[in-house]
Amino acid sequence: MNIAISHLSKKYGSQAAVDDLSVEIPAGTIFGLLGPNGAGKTTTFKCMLGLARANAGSVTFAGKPLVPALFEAIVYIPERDVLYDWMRVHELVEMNRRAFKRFDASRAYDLLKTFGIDPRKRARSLSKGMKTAVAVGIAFARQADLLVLDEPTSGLDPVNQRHVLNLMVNEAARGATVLFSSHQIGQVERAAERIAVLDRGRLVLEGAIDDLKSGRKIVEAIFPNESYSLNGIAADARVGRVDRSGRIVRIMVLDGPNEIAQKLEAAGGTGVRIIDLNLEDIFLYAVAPASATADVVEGS
Amino acid sequence: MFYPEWLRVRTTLKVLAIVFGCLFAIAALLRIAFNGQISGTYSWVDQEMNKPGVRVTHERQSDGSMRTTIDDRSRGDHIVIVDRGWQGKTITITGPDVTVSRSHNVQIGSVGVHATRVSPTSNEVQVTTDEPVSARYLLLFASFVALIVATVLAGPLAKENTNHLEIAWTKAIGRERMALGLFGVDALAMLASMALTVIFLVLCTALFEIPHVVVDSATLPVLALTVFLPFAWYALLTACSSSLKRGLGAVIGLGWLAALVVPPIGQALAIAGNPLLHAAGVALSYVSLLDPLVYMHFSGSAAPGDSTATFGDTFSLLASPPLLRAAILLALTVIYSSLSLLQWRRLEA
Amino acid sequence: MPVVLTVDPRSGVPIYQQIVEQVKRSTALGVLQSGEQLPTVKQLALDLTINPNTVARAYRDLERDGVIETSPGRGSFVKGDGVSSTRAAASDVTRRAMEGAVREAKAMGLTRADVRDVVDAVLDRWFSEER
Repeated sequence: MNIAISHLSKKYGSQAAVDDLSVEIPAGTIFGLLGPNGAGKTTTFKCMLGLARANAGSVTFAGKPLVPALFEAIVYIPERDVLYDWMRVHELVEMNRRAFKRFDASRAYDLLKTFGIDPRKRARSLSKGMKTAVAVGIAFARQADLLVLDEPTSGLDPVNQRHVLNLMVNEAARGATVLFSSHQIGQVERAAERIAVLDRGRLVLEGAIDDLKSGRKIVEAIFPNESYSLNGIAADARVGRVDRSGRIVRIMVLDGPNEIAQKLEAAGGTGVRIIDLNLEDIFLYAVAPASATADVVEGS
Repeated sequence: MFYPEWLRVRTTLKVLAIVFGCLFAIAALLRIAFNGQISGTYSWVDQEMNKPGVRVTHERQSDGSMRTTIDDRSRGDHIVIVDRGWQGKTITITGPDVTVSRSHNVQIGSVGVHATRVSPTSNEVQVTTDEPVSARYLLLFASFVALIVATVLAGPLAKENTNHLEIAWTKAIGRERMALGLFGVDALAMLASMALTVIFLVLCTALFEIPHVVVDSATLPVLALTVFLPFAWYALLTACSSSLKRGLGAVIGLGWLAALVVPPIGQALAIAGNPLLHAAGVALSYVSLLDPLVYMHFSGSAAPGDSTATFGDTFSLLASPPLLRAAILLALTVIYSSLSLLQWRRLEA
Repeated sequence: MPVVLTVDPRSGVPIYQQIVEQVKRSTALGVLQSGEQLPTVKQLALDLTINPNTVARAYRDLERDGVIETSPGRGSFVKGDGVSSTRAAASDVTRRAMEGAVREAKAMGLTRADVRDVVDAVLDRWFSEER
């Protein structure tokens, strides 16, 4: 199922946690939600799933608003630990088996085994990573149409993190929609097809990763002396940011890097080259342009 | 769907069963230890038997019972004891030493006994040990146990609020059905605990002699009263806590304290001379009407203004018949439960 | 399945493009024989832990470029055109590598003649038997 978020706003007191967010998550895709801490990712999930009340806007699932029956096909893994800590793992599995028709208990036990969880243990005796693993093992046995995962790999060691990514890829391959938030840009880069970046409650970037990587580049040129004019290149709508350092100029281009490169050559620039940006660079430019500049220069 | 609550209930009832089991075992041991001895109330029979100049005969009857005759010629008392073993004893006392007051409290010499039959013309009283027990005493005790169970299980919404709403509110049923389901499971638990208690009491009695529980027309209203009391108490504690994300224990503790303390304080202040204190007392007394615990008492004759009622002078409501009080408790249960639902509906995770 | 692909998600080059490049290179080198079956989209996505739609896009591009052909229900196979397609794929890969080098050269101020000299020197080194 797809998700259509339309002008979603949520305030806590006078602070806007989510500010006029509109984004569409297509069906059957893996969608990454990125953003610094406090950007509004968790609040978005809560408003989407009826756990908090939005001040404005709407969210629809396959065109329909949220009703309890939809939760047969929607599974949510929150960021923090919400397991009943006095229950044993096998009792948690049993709880899901009774509550959801599509739940596959044997698959759950298989997944728990992969993560090395003993089903007889009580939830409170598990470490943070193991609790995440339990939540993941149960969630991916739900055969859901939509998975909403808030930091699904937090606390897990790299091997188990890869397991979770693989599970997400598997869900997408069977046609489910996966919406996840993560601070691990590398994971998002691998698994996600589209991303949205939130910063202070607002959407600052959205699109397919491949398209973003094709369009967003740094175009670098060297001019003969320090006093050169860019002939209005900076005014081009496709130019994101211009950094001049002595004779070297680096232009962060949102789209059409080749044309900008030609313009620079026409303006007298030499040694014009186009530098690729990876998702981390793109993300940093979107939320913290100042810090991004230095990193990109050193990295490329 | 409500599996965690079932697990909680199962644990609670298990503990209750174990406690009852231990108590029953102790009772059984006592029964074996004191086998054959006549119970304390009838130690005076022992005394009579051992007085000098008293003639005692024992005859085994054809139905297996033992008939003992005690003749005290000097005082003119004649005592016949028929011991039917587990089916109890019947003691018939005839003689001038017998004085009967109202409500069948009999003085035999210096001893007071509760008689089951009195014929004043022949100065004869009859005492049976297999006296029937009115069901309402069993139900009263059961209600008390259910109050404890209600306290243990109360505030299921508050328990979900501490960290589990992401699970409770992402099931295929809405919040209201979720809450009602939890309430239903707990209600069944309270009923089960009452049944367990009654069974336990009957079994304990059966250790000593055949249990004789009398169920009469008064039982049904009392049943309603004793069932709705823990329900209303549970609902009150739940309503006070369903918006809280922590502090359920404090609410329960304070709830008990307030429920036990406010009504008597209100009553005491209400008869004070000082107009300010009097007003406060009246106000507190009205507030006390919200407290389910004040509705629990036996006003046997059920007449308004009955002095056995705690607030008989202030509120005839509280002295009303059990059925009416049960209806009030039911209403309180529904109101408090609705308040809980309304709060939970508005809450955010 | 001797399809050894490695992808670098952190690279600025989109992953689907990396897959396309590597498959072309493998066919050009003969590592992938004509008629050989490629893993399914789902299988490759799981093996590499990357988005299935990314793999699907790469396969579409490879099909468009004539490197593979997909029959529904049977799978994707390396196109068996023989020498010409292998050569075309190889030229493709080589040209892309050269684009970057020539652009750098031009940026550094070399003329066409200068670049020609460099290319000849390199060719001499590697194709000495054809001199």
